[in-house]
Amino acid sequence: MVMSMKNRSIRFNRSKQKQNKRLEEQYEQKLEEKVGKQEIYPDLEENINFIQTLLGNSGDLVTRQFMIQYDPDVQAAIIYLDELVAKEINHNYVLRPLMKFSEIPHKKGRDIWDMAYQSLVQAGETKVEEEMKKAIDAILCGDTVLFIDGYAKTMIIGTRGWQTRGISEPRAESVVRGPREGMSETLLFSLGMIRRRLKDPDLRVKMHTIGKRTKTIVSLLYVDGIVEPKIVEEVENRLKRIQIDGILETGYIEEFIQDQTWSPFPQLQNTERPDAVVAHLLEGKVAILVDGTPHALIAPAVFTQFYYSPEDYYERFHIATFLRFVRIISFFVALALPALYIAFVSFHPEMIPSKLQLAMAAGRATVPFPSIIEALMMEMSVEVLREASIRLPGPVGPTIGIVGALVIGDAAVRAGLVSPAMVIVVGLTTISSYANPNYNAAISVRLIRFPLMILAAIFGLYGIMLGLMLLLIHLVQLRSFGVPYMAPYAPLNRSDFKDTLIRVPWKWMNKRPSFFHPEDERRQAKKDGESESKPNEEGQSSS
Amino acid sequence: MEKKPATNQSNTLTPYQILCTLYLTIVGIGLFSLPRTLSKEVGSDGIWVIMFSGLIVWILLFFITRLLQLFPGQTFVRFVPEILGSSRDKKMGKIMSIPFFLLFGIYYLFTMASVIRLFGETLAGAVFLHTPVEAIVIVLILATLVAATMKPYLLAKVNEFVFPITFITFILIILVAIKYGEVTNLLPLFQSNPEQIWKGMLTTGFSFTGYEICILFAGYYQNTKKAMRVHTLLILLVTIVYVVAFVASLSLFGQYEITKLQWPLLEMVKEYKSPLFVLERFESGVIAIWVTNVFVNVANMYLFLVQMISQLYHSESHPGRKWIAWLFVPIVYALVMLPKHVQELNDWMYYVGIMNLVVVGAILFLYVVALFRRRKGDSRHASSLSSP
Repeated sequence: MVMSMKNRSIRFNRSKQKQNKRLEEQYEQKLEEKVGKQEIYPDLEENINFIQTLLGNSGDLVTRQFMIQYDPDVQAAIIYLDELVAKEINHNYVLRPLMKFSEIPHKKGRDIWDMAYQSLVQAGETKVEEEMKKAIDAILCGDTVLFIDGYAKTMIIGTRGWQTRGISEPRAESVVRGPREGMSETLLFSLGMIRRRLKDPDLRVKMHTIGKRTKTIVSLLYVDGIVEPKIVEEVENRLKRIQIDGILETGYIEEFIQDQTWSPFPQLQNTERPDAVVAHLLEGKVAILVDGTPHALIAPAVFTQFYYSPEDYYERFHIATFLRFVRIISFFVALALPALYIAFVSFHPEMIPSKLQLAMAAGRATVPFPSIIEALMMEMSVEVLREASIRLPGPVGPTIGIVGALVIGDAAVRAGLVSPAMVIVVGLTTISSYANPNYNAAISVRLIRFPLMILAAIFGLYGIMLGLMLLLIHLVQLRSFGVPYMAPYAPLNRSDFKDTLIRVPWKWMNKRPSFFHPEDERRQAKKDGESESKPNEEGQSSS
Repeated sequence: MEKKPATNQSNTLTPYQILCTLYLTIVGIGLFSLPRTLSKEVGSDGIWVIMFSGLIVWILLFFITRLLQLFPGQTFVRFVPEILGSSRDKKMGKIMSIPFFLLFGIYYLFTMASVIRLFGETLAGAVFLHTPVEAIVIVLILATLVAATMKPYLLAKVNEFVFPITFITFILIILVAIKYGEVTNLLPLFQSNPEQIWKGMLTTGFSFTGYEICILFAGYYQNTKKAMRVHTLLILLVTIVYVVAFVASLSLFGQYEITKLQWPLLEMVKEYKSPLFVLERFESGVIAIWVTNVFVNVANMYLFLVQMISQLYHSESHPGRKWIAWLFVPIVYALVMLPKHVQELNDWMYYVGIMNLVVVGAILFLYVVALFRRRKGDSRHASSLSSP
């Protein structure tokens, strides 16, 4: 089953790649015809005309022609997109110095371009380019380009600035204790939050531009010296292979670079929290940030990691350990409770205590359906409610959800359509699936629940067990960028067990998880009197 | 510190994985009925019989381990031709080893079939009264098929997960005996004559079958030199489990009642009655958990077959293995449904046990031949094999 899926996924990818290639060729060809290797004209008018026609005389394209006061014979122009630039920079530090009378005495023979570049334009980032394509790219990114008549080159001035949402608390990953800022849609803000927390000269930020048309900036973050170079190499290779017209969210990248397309389990983690990103970087993982979305991707990811919350590391270890147990229990409840209910009711009624069984039988007496239909009906209606409460506007959403669940559930029980026990089961299942700190892992559990219910309806507990075994087989075979998905449970590793179901005090977590093969294994310096398990390592560190 | 490359390390079996895999291949559905069959033969002397059988199995396994240590990092598919063939003619060894491979293959086919059938009968008799055995059996075969297409080191991980689940369940079952069991039920001791003891040993000997699967998994051991330590621990663990199961059910039911119970260990579960538990009557639950045990038990043997064929034909790639695994489905199913009733199945189990003796004998014969011909696997070959 799993194997055939794998084959299909390869085929699927291949056809997608082909399609993308065609798409790319067409687009490239068109662009090549229009721009090509066009050099910038020496004539100002020609440049302005070229850019305006290429952008289709776009209404938001601002072209400001003016005379440089320094040498009034020289015409110049700046071109920018109205909505993407910080206008005060353009007005105060580009236009004003160029148009105002300069204090610098006019000397004949001094090159006006050099003058503008070196002293007149007062912006931090400037670049000189000679190709038209570069100028157009710069305009589209929110930079301003300056043309001076008579010079076959352009000055690109960094004036990007647009409205942003500002920093707010991450909605899906809120914590009781811990930083409340979430990353932002603007890549640089997010990067800033990470840099601010990780003042390590070894932090590497590699920029890629993905998306033929959207030209989205995707940055790859890792800590050199901790992360295994092979992982970085693999991630970079997979990023380079992406050929698509646009990247709007990390989800695009996730689907392109994950190992197994058909697996219901997420193979990359995503987070909005800069502190979580830093924690993952310090464990020897790689983070991928995409401009335009506050989510960061973390690779590689292992199964257990989806059941950790950043708060586990901020609260004291007792409560963290307890909460992890709660989450694992809720994982199993969300996964198997409806299936168990079906199995118990239809195959193993003897397992239910007799008193409860009498009550359940009384509740089920009026129900006209077999338990599987009852369960599927209820689960589906809960899924509908869930989806609807997300779409419903603002404060009404949760209310409708609760009212819907209570009223419909109660009415259904009274009408004898479902048994009261089923309502309890569905309620518990739904609540349990929200106990998972990671939304994408919770979704996969929601999906797997349904096949398990069908197996339970056919073979009872036997079916559930076989289903779980197949699930285990699938999980054991999964790999995320070369790291076994079920690490550190299989293969079992004692030292990695310190941060799994139990979270030991920080004092004792002196090593990084070994299954990410960190180059620098130690998190904490060796304490005095600590037993030396690896004699060679000592020699390495002292040299 | 010399760092091993990541891929190489994850393709080998850790000692704990070896323990889990071999334990689950030995201990299967037979654990439930062992107290009955044994006390039928020897009464309460079963304690000594199990221990003595354990000792003998340990000695046999000792020699097998010595054979494996001659060829580290190689499965039997590679080292059997090397033992039998000459260095000049490579084909000769292959032809000579065909009878051995046939023997192994047939043995595992029959063992698998009898385990699956026994399990199907148990389920159909105890839990699914209205479900046909055929349905239970075919689902189990198809599910294990998926497992058998995995690489051995990945299946070992599945074993690693299942082992604690079944082991903890076993301990929980035994706890009942401590509460309700009576020591007087274990007496009198030393009542059996040698003939009975011999028969009893044969019965328990059959319960120990499965350890010889190490001739396959040894090809993936992380450290073959230290394999004996794990193997000793394994036999010790299995012996203890058997003795404990035997003592517990005997102390609970007594010699005469126990012979009348089909699954003494399962009957023990019925004694669990406590308001503390949410559930009542645990047998279905225990059987459900035991599904995982039987699943990997069968999967390991299935893997043996698939791995043997695929290594013989050098097609260790995934699609090839899948087809080989599918090839076995009709054969296994036909064998599973061959015995007409449980009585015939019991006879089968006896013959399978005898066949196990032949298989172990053949492996020991190979060891003797290897010693005489001074055959030894070179380590260069080994490293290339561990990453198939």
